[in-house]
Amino acid sequence: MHCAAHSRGTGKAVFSLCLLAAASGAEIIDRIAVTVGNQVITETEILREIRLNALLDCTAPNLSPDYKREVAEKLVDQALIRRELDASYAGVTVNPADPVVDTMLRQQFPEQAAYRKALQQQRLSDREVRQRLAWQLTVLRFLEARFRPGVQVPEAEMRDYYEKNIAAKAARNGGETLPAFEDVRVEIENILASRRTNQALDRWIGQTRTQTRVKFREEAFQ
Amino acid sequence: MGIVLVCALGAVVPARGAAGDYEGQRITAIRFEPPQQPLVSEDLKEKIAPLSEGEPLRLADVRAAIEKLFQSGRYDDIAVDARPENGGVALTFVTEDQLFVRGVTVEGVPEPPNQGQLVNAAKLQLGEPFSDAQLKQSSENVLETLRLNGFYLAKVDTDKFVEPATQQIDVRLIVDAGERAHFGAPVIKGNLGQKIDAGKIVGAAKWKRFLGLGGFREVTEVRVQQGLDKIRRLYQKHDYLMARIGLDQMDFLRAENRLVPHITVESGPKVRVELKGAKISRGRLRQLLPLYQEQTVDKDLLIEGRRNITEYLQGQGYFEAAVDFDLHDAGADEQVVEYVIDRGERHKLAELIITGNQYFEEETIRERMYLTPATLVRFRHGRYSSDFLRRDVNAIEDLYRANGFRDVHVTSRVEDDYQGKENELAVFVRIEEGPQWFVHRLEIVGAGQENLSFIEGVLQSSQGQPFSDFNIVTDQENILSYYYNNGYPDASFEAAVNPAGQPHRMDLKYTIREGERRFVRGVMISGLHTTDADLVSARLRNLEPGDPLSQSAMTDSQRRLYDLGIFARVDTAIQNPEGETDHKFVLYRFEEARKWSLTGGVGAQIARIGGGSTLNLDAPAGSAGFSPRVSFGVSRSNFMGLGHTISLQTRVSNLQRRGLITYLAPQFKGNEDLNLTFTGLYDDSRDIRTFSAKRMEGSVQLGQRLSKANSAQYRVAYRRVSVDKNSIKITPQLIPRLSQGVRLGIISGTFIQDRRDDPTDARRGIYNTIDSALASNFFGSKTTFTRIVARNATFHRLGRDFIFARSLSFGWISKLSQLEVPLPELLFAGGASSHRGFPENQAGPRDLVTGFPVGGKALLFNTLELRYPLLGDNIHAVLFHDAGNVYSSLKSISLKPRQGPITNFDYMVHAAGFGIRYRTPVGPIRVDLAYAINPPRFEGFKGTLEELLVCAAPGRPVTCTKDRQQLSHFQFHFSLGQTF
Repeated sequence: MHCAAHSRGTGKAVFSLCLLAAASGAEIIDRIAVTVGNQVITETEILREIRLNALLDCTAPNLSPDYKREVAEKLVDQALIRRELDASYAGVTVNPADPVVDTMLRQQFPEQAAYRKALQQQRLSDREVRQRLAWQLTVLRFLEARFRPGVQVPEAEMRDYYEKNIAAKAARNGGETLPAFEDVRVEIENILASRRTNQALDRWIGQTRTQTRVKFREEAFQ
Repeated sequence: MGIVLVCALGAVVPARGAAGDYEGQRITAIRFEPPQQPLVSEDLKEKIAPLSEGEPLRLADVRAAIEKLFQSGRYDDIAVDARPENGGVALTFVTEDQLFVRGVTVEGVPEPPNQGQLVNAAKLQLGEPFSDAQLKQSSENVLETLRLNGFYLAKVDTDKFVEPATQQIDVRLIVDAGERAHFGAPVIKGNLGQKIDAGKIVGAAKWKRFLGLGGFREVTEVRVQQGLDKIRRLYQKHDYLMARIGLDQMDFLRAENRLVPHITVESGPKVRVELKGAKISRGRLRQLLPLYQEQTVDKDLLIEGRRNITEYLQGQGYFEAAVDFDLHDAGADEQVVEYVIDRGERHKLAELIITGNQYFEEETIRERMYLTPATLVRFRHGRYSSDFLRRDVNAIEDLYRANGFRDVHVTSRVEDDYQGKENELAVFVRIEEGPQWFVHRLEIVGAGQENLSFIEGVLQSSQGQPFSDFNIVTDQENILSYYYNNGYPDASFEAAVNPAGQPHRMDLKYTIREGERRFVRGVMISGLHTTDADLVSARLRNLEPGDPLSQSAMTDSQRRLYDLGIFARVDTAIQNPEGETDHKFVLYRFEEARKWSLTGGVGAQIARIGGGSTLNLDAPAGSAGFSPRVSFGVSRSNFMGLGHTISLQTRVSNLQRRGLITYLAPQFKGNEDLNLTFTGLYDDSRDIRTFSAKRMEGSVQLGQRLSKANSAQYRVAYRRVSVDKNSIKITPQLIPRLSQGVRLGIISGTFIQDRRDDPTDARRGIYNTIDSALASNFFGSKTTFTRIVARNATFHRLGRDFIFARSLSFGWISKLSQLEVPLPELLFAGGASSHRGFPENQAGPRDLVTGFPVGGKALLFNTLELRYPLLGDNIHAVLFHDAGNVYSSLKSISLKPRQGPITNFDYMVHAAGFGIRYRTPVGPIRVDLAYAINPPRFEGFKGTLEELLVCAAPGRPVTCTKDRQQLSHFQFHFSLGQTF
């Protein structure tokens, strides 16, 4: 009987045995960590994401199981966005070679030498970083295209924001000149609209996750 | 993105350094564990490419390979390990197969719920990926369904059987149901309203047995729901139309195994509905006012009720009816909904005038309209309402637009007191067709050359054809249907429309994305216990390995399997439907039907039954009689697992003793157009007036469907018919010839051409049958004769409502030897389905002494019917004229209407009459009253059979008392189905 020819109840154990047998004297270089429908997030993807976060946040990479799980959750959300994007919003995708990615990169790493060093330390390539930045921009555009058109900010909410934030801040700072509502209206509207857009995204992700089979493989998070 | 971080931190990911160490090393080997993989070697290579021996290892490629393998749907888990080997790196893909659901059974539950409900509750879909988490959820779902049916003590265990070679899993949910709980005394709270107490509510729910004897009933989901509905009806009956009845919870008392329903009642106010200005029956009002169904009163429902009443009155001819409503309190806890109706004058839609139509004939337009000018019987005031008119205008515009008239404009005008006639309406419909648009050029992009020729053949919007959105949608449906049925499940279609350079011309561009083509990898069958697998395989068509994966091939095969009549359920699905593999398994899962079925019945026939007594021969035309009957049947389906059915039907009454054993082989030899039947019959009956016949028959019939309209039947029969000497009521001189035993070997064939639109109630079409037979001593027959019976019937629509139906029947028997054709083989006719001027089987020659019918050797009947609606849509009327008779020979066929001498029966009997048809799903129930203009006169015999034998004995002078009789002019028939 070969390794997989058992009932499901023992299937996992058999898989682990096969893994042990195969891996004696070897090491696992990648494995499925999470499945999202028929998409896969592998363990190395999670680690790469952690390294990218560390590189862009200029922090030490956090390899704790909890953080790996947190990153995996975000990758699940991204996988759902990617699926929706491929199906209906392919036009918003940003190419990693796009000049706007260059600009972002220069803002993040003004010095080439430091950038090269960071890449080397995190075992990342320039292409991977560019892809990540392009993806961030793509998600922003997707948000604008998918959720922003349905967002309306009521006048009362804008005025409320004006009173509670701008007017209150001016009052706290004493002599600071309070701008007229109409002068900051567009700015307020943008702030509130992006809040609502993010909320709409969260709702959509929550809903989509309930309709998608998402399975975490615990072995990848130990 | 406004945040700028200047990064100078040198943090490093320490782990997985070793994995990265392999990056760029030469791959010396790629292995799979286990070695036997669900994908074939070529597919594996393709999925893991560009990883291959000799190439450098890139972790990104490993990641991509894992993703591609997983997306095939055939793996549940994948890990890749690496080890140094031969100066490079050896990779091993360690995989775990995905399992797919095959069989699901739930055992150990007494109904309800039935097996099907429980399997559905488990939500384990055939062919879908299986997981243990799903199974846990399935057990929960089944337990929930059991609890709804009172099994609160139920436990569910699971058992699984895996077939690794096909990656399939069978799941058994083994239920220990325990005892079903009984209802406990319901706890009722809330505002119960006036004159309704808890006792009444409990009584209404019927959760207690009759008069409370035997306590509370057992809980089932249906009983709970029905009980709540009955409580709601109780409140409705007391005018609490807004009552809220809620089942808060069911408390389970484990010690007593009882379920106590907790019900909250909010009676709300009483709501009385009052009508002012018109009367409408309470039953009709319940249909018209949605507040009765919705159990609430709000403005929207009141408005909807107003609209319904208005339309109802308009339908009654009150075209100007105006309805208003008011809702007001009438004391504490009571509200009144008052509809104030001003019916106005009753009108008649006298004329419907359509102008401006050039492209379509008026008939074509009227066919699509609700508006109907007044007719004599059915629509005495016509059919009109403002809503109907609006719908008709839209329907006409849709018709034109679908044919390229994009700019069509239809207007209407209603004129009262038309042509000075008070309350007569005329509706003028004016059509401005505008120009017709055509397709100037059609470009099809993306279709493969092999598919293009089919697509071009089904297009509605080809070059030069009328342009319309409707045609584009039709094209889309046809094209996608073609692709889905030819292995392209992901095909998509897009249409782009642009004005062409020429006026009223459009350029069309169809963009098709075919997607990956999928093929059948094989068919896997499960659930067969006694059925021969070959029987199933022979009915699976176009599902051979390598065939394009076609939804229609799957459902066609499923239909063929259902048609065998031996399966209670046939499920079909694609295994791993979402997986990205070119070749997929098609699954069929069967639930075999119960094999034995018993039927029984007790009934009676009240009809004109003649010759029931040997004591009296006074009524050769029959007299009203009563015949009780008992019937019993048993059948065994799927005999020997071959899909054949063997059945025995018996019937015993004082007129008939009958036993029929049948062996039916449907879809004979796997051919769905053939069926083979073996029949054995014993029949001892007195279904005609003249004699009692005992008939034993064995026959074989092959039925063949030649085309959609044409079919044929080929029969070989061997029968022995004997006439009961004691039952013969004809002149004794004839007895020796007629009463002798008859052995018949006969071959016959029937050709049926059926082009009727509805076989049970045809409105148009043709129905032809021709049946011919040869009885010959070659087939073991004592006598030799031929018989031919043919019928031609046609159905024609006259205008919108009337149908003219006609039928001509001809029959002829010719003896081919000296021996006479035996009496039971002669032609007998007359009655509800041949000639309504006669009672059943009373047409044709009669015995010259007793007056009983003796059958003939030829028949000719012509029937004309005018069918039309009488009341509403279900009651229709028929005016008919039947002409013809059964004749003593072919040469005797005569069209003359006069009988002439009393001994001559070879003339044409005419009957006219009126009938009513009530439409039912199985065909119309029919009542006909016929008046025979020239029914036959004949000599009857007054006395008993004994007296007849004495007075007519050889050598004695004939002293029989003659009794001159005539068939009644009026005949009444009651039956099921149209006459023809």
